[in-house]
Formats: sequence, C-alpha cells, structure tokens
Amino acid sequence: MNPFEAIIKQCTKPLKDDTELQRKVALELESHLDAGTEEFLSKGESQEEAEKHAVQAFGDPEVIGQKLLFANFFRLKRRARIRLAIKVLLIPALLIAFLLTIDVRSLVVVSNLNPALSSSFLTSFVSFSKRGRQDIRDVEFPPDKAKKTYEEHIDDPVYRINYLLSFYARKDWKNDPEKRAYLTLELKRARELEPDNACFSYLLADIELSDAVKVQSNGTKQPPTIQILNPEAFERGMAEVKRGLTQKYLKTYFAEILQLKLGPYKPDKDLIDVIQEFSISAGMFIHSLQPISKLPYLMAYYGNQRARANDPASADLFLNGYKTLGKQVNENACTLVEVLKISGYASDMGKILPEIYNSLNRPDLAQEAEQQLAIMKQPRLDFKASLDKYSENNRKMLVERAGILTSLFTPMFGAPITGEDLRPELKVSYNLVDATVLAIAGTAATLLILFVLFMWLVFRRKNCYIILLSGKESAKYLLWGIICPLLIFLLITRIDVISGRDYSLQVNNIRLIIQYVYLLLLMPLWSICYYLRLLRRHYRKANGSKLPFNLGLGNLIPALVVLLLFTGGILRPLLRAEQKHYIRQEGHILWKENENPTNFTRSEALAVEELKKRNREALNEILKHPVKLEP
Amino acid sequence: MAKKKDLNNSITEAIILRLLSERSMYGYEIIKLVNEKTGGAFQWQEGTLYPCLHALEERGLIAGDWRTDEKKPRKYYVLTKAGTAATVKQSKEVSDYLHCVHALLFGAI
Repeated sequence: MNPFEAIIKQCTKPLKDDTELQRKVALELESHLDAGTEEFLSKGESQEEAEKHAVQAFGDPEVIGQKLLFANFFRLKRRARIRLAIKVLLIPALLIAFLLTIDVRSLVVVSNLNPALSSSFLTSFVSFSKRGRQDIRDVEFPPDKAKKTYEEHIDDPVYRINYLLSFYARKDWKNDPEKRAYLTLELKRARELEPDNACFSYLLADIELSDAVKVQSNGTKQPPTIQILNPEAFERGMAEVKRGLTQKYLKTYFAEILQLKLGPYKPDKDLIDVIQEFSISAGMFIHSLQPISKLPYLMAYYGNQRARANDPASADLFLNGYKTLGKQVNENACTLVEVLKISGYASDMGKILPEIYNSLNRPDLAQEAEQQLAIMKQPRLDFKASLDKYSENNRKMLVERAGILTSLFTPMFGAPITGEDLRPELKVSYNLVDATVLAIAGTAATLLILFVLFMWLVFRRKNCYIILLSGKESAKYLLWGIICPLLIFLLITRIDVISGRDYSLQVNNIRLIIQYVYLLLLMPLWSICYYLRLLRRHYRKANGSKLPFNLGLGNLIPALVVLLLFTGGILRPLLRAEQKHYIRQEGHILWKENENPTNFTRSEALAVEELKKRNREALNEILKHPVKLEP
Repeated sequence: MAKKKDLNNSITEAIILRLLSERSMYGYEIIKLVNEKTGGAFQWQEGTLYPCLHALEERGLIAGDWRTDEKKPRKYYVLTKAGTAATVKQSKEVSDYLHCVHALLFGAI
C-alpha cells in the first residue's frame, strides 16, 4: 500500500471534478514525497522515519489542496464541463450514429414487399428489428385498412382496385359464401363506376369459373384438358367474359398501387424506384393478371360450344377473344410482362384454335387462324431478334445486371414465369440488401458492445475517465484519423464514377467488396489505431507511465462514435446508390406522374414501347380481316 | 513593474522561471535549490510551489515532461518558448519593484 495515499488523497480532494487532473497531481505529489523520503534515507534514517519526516515537511494538505484548486480552478471547471458534455452527448450521438448507419424501415419495406425473399438472415434480422413494435406490414397491408382507405376515397379507381384485388387475392371467398357474395357485389359496383375497364368483368368471371371448370395443363405444346364441373356457373362465368370482351380496356393500376402501398412509409423517391423494381422483378404483381390467365383456352372451348349451338355471333366473339384481350391489355400495359402476355394469349390459342376450326369442318379458318396467330407471335420474335443487334458484351450486361429485364424475358424463351425462374435474378438484386444487412448488423452489434462497455467503465469503474486531448492533438486526430481516410475513400469512389462503372458483375462485386472492406474495416482500424497512439502519447507525457488497458478502451468509445457518425452518414447513401446502380442499366428511372408510368431503365422502357407498338400494329392488321364462321 | 495582486506569487513565478531557464527541474529539486541558494531564508513548501507550477503550466510558460529513465518516474518542468520571453520580462518587473521598495525605505540607490 502507498504510505502517502491518505495525504495525497486529502491534497487532491478539491480536484475531484477532474479525474484526469486529480490523478496527474496525485502522481506528481507522490513523486515529490518519494524524493523527500530518499533524502531522509540518505541521512541515515529508517524507511518509516524517512516517510514520516517527508510527510511532515510536506506542509498542511488542506492548504495545499485549496491552493491547488485555486491554481487549477478555471482549467478544472472547463475540463469538467467538457467531460460532462461528452458524457451527456455521447448517448444521443450514439443514437444518431445508429440511425445514420441503419435503415431498418427500408429493409422491412423491401422484405415485406418481396415474399420471394429467401435470405433467412435478413428475415431473422427484420423480425428481430420488429420485435416489440407494431408490425409494419399490419399498418398498411391488411384488407381492412385498404377497405377503410377505399371507403374514404370512394371515387378513386386506384384505392378501389387496390382493395378489391387484395380481397380477391386472399382467396378465402372461395369457401365463404358470404364473402363471395360481398366480393361479387363490390366488383359489380366497381364496374358501374368504371364501365370501360374489363378487369372487374374478368374478376367476376373468375369467381364464377373457379368452381365451375377445371383446366388441366398437358405440357407446353399440348392442348389442355377442360372439364366442366358446374354448367350453370360456367355459363354465368362466360357471360361475364363476354361482357369483358365488349369493354374498352383492362387495367389493374399496378404501378399506382405500389406507390400507394409505399406512401405511408414516406420513403425517398429513389427507394420507391428501387423497391418497385424489386417488386416487379419478384413478380409480385403478376397475380393481378392471373384471373385471365386461363381465359384463352376457355374462350376457345366456349366458342366451339356456341358454334355447335348454332350461335355464330357469340362463337366469333369468343374464338376471336384473344385478339380483343390483346388489344385491351396492349393499350394500357406499361410493363414487359403485360405486353408479353399478348403473345402468350396467341401462343395458348395456337394450341387449341386450329383444331377447333378443323372439328367445325372449316379448314380454311383453321389455316387463317394459324396465320393470324403467327402474326401475333411475330412482334415477340422480332423483338427477340432485335436484341441481337446489341453487342455480346452489352447483352451480357443487360442479362446480368438488369434483374427486371432478364426476369421479364423469361416468357420470351418459352418458360412460364414462376418464383423459381426469377430467383437467380433475385439473388443478384438482393446481394446488396444482404450486404446492407451485414453492415447494419455489424454496426449495431459494435454500437451495443461499445455502449455497454462505456457504461460499465465510465460509470462503474472510478479509475476510468475521459482523457481530454489538447486542441492540437484533437486537430491531428481529425485530420489524420478521420479526414484523411475519408478522402482516400472518396478518391476510390470518384475513380469509380469517372470510369463510368461499366463493369461486369464480377468486377462490380470485387469493387464493392473493396469499398466495403475499406469503409467498414480498414478505415475504422486506421482511425482507432491513430487515436490510440495519440492517447498513449498523451498519457505517457502527462503521467509518465503506460496507458492502462481499460482506460484506453474506455477512451476509444467517444472516438468510435465520432467515426460512426461519419461512416454512418456515408454508408447509407452509398448503399442506396449501389442498389440503384445494380439494377439500372443506364441510370434512368422514368417515373412520370399522371402519365402511363414506365418504371424501368431507359432501355427497358424503350423495349416495352417498341413491343407495344409492334403488338398494336399486328393486332390492327389482324382485326382488318376478322375470322368469321359465317362469311 | 509588478502589478499583480499577489506579490509573493509574482516573485515565486519569476524565481521559478529563472531557475528553469538554466535547466529543467522537478518540483522537489526546485524547492531544495531555492532553500540552498537562500541559505534557508526562503523555506518554500509544496503548497507554495505546485500551485505556482500548475498556473505557469496552464499559461503555457512551462511544460511538464515525465521522465522514466530514473529509479522512479519524475515530472520535470521545462521552459517553453513563451516562458523564455516571460522570464526576462517578469524578472525585470520584480527587480524594478524591489528597487522602488529599496529607494523608498533606504533612499535612492
């Protein structure tokens, strides 16, 4: 035990507001008493006597304490205030750093919008982030909310269709007569309000046909097997189809619905674009087109029935229904999925229609139908061929980077669109989301550990205090520990931009990894090491001994919070930019409000426009010479 | 001329600065040297020295430097650049003051 502890404690008691100063003065006084003791020892006194005399010669500790306080008063008060400010500000700074670094809300939105999302890590993280809070999904997506919004905006076609499609998509009306009746009633009401939209008629038809008919697919080239289970319901359903075929257009407002769903989260404009692209890529809105997916088969089947029942007018309407359907979709389609559906109708009809005309002893019409179906399929083939005009490298980039475009090309290559087909693109698209989650989880864990350590060290351990660096030392840290590494990071990213970011997927991934490793690992390491070096020098200069481990660790926390504030501020916009870049081919998202929205890259938008134009021309060509059973 | 309220403080500071202008010293060494040089007439104690040293350090006239090369670590004080200029000024002020006191008490020198 230190023999001078009591007297030193008494001398330095008035300095207790500034632990660092108190400690430094205590060390100096101890050194002084040691020197005094040595002198008395050299005079031949015993250790005990020498220490006693050294203390006696020291003077009145109370007077020394007061004088020391007087000499250090202003410094002490100023430093005590700075320390208090650091302690008080550290918690909000930590929270700000946390908020800057993470964007849980956006992740939850992305996760909720993409049921195909397969990352268990993200799912568990998102469910963790939602723990103890209201489930964000429940705020916006339940039908009750959609119903409420619909009732509040009774004349708005987007709210109306959003509610009805969400109700329809639950499919629980299939086994609940009351719900089925309610849905039927609401759809009929909606049709009255929007008499030109065939969507409601086709949905009503689907309700009737859901139990009335069974369509069994027999492979991609074989016609399906159609089995009528309830003839009366089938008739009612086809009557609704007939009505739909006389309406002008078919519109499900899918882009507008997405904007509605995202609205309450108030996400940035860029995030809406990204999520929209994710959603389209994930095929989330394909279900809105499903009610009419089997209609071409049923129309051909029913047209055949009507022809045999000597009802040529109705027979023509149904046998030519695929053309009408194509026209209805084409005029209002804004996505490649919808446009390609038209070719799909022709393809479906091609399996069954010529056979029907042959069975009706009209081989001429069978031949004509085959020719017309070929015309309808042609735009798709032309479009596919036109892609070859791109160089192989560009084509490859389109395929690898533009998740939406590749996923939407799937039907062009003869495959149906399923979640599994989209998954490879999803994986590419979500790479960055996963990277974001990793960064967030790492940052959150670091912050949590730091916070606990800080609380324990500073508030529970008295020998740990905040070391205040001098102005010069702080400036050095700011310059070499933060600004310099940040400048290097900016330099790396600027080089990146100057080069045009025209990379392959692999190069892009390597580039990203380098950036993330630097930002999340090297830069903090650099900054921490530099700060620690400054701390050690400062402590050695002030106390003449090595910086204790716990004191060093405790003092790294404020520096780390400063660093997190900087990196957090950079990380989020960086990831956002990368998300956009990853998906966009040319960096252009065309979102024009109050216009037919085109939510793709420029090349995708042009592709849709081109295909729509060709489809329209093909349909017009066919409609000039309609196939009729009766000349 | 020394205008500080605490005359003793001014004199103590001037002495410390002057001693440190010769070489760097630690607290105990300064006390010992002052006692020796004045033949025991000045019996400086820690309560006199350390507050003064801290005040000078705070004003940037001297700087502390812990040295660990000896048996036990000791804090040496060295004169800073500002301290060197202050030494001349403060010594002159104290000297002028003492001349005035001498003139008043014993007549012109």
